[in-house]
Amino acid sequence: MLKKEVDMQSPLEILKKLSEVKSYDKEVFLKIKENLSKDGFNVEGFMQWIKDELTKVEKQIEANDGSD
Amino acid sequence: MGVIKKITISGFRGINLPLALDFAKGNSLVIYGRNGTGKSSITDAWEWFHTGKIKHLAREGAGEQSYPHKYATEGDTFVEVEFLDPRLDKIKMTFNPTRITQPDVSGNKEAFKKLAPHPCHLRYRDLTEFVYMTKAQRYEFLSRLMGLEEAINIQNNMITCANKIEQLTTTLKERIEEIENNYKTIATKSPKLEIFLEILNSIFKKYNLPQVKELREVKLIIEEMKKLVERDTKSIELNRWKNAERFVSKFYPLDEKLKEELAEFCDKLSDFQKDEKELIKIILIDFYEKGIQVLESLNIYDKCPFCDKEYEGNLLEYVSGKQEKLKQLKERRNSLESMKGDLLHRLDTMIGKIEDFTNNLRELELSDLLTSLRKKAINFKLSIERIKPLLQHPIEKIEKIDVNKIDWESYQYLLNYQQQVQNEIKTRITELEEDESRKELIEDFQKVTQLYQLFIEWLKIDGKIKRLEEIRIAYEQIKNDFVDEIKSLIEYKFNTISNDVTEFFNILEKDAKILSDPKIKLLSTVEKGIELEIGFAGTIERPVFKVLSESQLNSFGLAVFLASVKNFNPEFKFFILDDVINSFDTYKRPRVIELLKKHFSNYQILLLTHDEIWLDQLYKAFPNWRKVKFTGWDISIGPKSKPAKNAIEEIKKFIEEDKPRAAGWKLGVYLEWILQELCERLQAEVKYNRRNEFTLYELYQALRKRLKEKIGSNHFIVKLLNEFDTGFRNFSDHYKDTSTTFSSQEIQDILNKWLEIENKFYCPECNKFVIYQKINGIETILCPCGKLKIK
Repeated sequence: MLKKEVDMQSPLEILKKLSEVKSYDKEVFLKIKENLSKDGFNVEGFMQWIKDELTKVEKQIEANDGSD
Repeated sequence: MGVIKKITISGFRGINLPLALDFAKGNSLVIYGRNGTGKSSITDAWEWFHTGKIKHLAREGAGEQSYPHKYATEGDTFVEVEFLDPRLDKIKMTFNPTRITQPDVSGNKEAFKKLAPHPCHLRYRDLTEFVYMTKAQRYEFLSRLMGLEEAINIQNNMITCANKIEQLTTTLKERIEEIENNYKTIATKSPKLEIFLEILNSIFKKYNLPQVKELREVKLIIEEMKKLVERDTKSIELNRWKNAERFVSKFYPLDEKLKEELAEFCDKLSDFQKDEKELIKIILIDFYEKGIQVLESLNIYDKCPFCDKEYEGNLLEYVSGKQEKLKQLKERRNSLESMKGDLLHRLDTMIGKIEDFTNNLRELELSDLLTSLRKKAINFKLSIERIKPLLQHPIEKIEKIDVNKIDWESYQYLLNYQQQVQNEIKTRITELEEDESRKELIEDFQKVTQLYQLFIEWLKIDGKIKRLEEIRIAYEQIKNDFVDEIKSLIEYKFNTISNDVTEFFNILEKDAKILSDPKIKLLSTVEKGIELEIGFAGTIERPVFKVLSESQLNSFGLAVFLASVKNFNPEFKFFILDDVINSFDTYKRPRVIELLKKHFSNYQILLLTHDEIWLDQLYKAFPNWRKVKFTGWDISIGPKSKPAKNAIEEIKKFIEEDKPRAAGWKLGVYLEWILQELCERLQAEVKYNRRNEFTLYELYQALRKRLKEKIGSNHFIVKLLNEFDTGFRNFSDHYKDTSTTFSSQEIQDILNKWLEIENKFYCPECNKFVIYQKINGIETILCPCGKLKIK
């Protein structure tokens, strides 16, 4: 558990402190952080990023195998 | 002392004209009003001012648009708080009708939020709901009480997101399995680059085509092979018929029962929608369920426990009947929802099939029949695409569906000509395959192109699954750490307040000697689980619901709230209690007063109640609190208020107005309460009465007898009590009797004499009555602060 001097009200602060003590996948961590606000975690936003990532994979395969 | 000078609420919920709650120099304030006089609008207004939202309304589906009063125009809806702290001064929050979630704020709201980060209001409904919550809901409730609402929302969102990632993974895995199966049907092996190239090379070799070493070379050689096919016009034709055969076999069979089942759904829907008035009540099922639980636990069937209205007949039967009817309606609704879901899925499948079929056949106008089938399929698809959006609404909102608008004629054509088109294709292929070498070339070409398409598709999905898995693992790690952190924060916060929770609970439940040391336990095996435990008759019991009554559970909730306020809003000593004592037994209500007196004497409290007896107890315990009475409610005004009076002030007012009957009745109720209180505190023996009701005179006699025993007949208080007997005996026998009349002067005399006596028992320093105690054989009768001593 993190030291309790962290501002207990701020989930962003909690996440930031967690990243200092753990090694997370930078890209995923950044995207979680980007979608975090006072109103909560933007599920749709994060899922859209995932879908974009998967489209990138598809494009990459098309480019490599010459199927396009 | 004190935090708030004035709260002004205007045009908000049940309050129309500005309502100013004047706390003077930071005094506490108690507002009395019957149900429906607008008290709750005050708590709603405070919650909106503090958090920008009203949670319980949001749960009921009422958003920000429901905050303004019906008659309020732009700028009329606001909450203004004047603070005693000069750093905060005056803050005004005005509802903005064009941006309903973004109110206009003037003043230093940020400073206020820093001073008061935690919830500082508690409603009766919060406590009652607490009793019936699941483990996960209780976890959220306690977390919110401790001010972790934002973190909990994020935690919930993150869990939802994890589920969505899981769903996406499942969809992709299903898709790849389907592709693998199709691939295996042709290649007899699973897709793997090396083997894939091997199969293709063996075919290419037969036609003296170059061998391939990498995937990127395959497309080029397939083009070469296509040229071989195109050298012979009959080969081209055979290839096209083979394609047609493949597309047709994918298209058929069609959903033959679609028409029939769509019509059945429409009939059932129209029948269901006839119960329109009842439909909107489905939302009340849970409410009825809770109502039944409350009625059963209270064992009261002729009075509503919420509004105290009498009911002629059995209320439990009535509520159960209502609930049963709604349950049946809900079952019908669920069954229709499921039917609708199934139909939508079938329509989607049909649209998908037709799209594939018609796109693939676009270049294959091989015969009149195939062209005609394609046209009919397009017509049918267009007609079902028009109907589909209607089915996407919730059952209650689906408008009438005219199934006849679907082009069933085209659909029937597609069904009727299945056999004929398949025969036609078969015949043409047989004719064209008479030449064996042509047959082999086309079959090989078909095999190569299909395997290539499937392999590329498989590669894409496989790549997506791998990337998604990478994201999922990284996401899960962060999410789990975050959730664990929130859990440990709750534990940390609870540990911070646990001593206070235990102490407050013990005050509230001091008569329940069997209970001790309430604790909260986080269930590590459950993602969001919390359980309460308590010492019960020497053993630890968990969950506490096994041993605690509803009222005791509410004590627990109140203890958590007050301990949180004390510990997490240390700089902001103000809170609102909205009708929270409703669920407490009468004997337990003074314990709430005791708790407030002992631990919150330096707090400013806004207390809302509709309970008159509790109100008098409050007036007696907190003589300095300001008092307001809501006498009624008017839609164009809101609550109608006036300064409230305590029981003595009201009796005096009735006497002044020469209303002896009202004065006498009020005096009788007041004396009964005070005499009961004194008999209890002095341990006077009162004759047992099976009806659990005592006459005033019995209580008076018991008190006098006890005092005679303890301080002797010559003590001046006993003498005063003896003098009081004259006139009081007659009053106590007849004050409820409407045929006997007392004059205002007679009531005044009894009141004066009684007040003289009461003052001998009541300490103005600690605002408490004296109490009898015997410690080490020494008997005393004195108040808790020790300044008033009788013995």
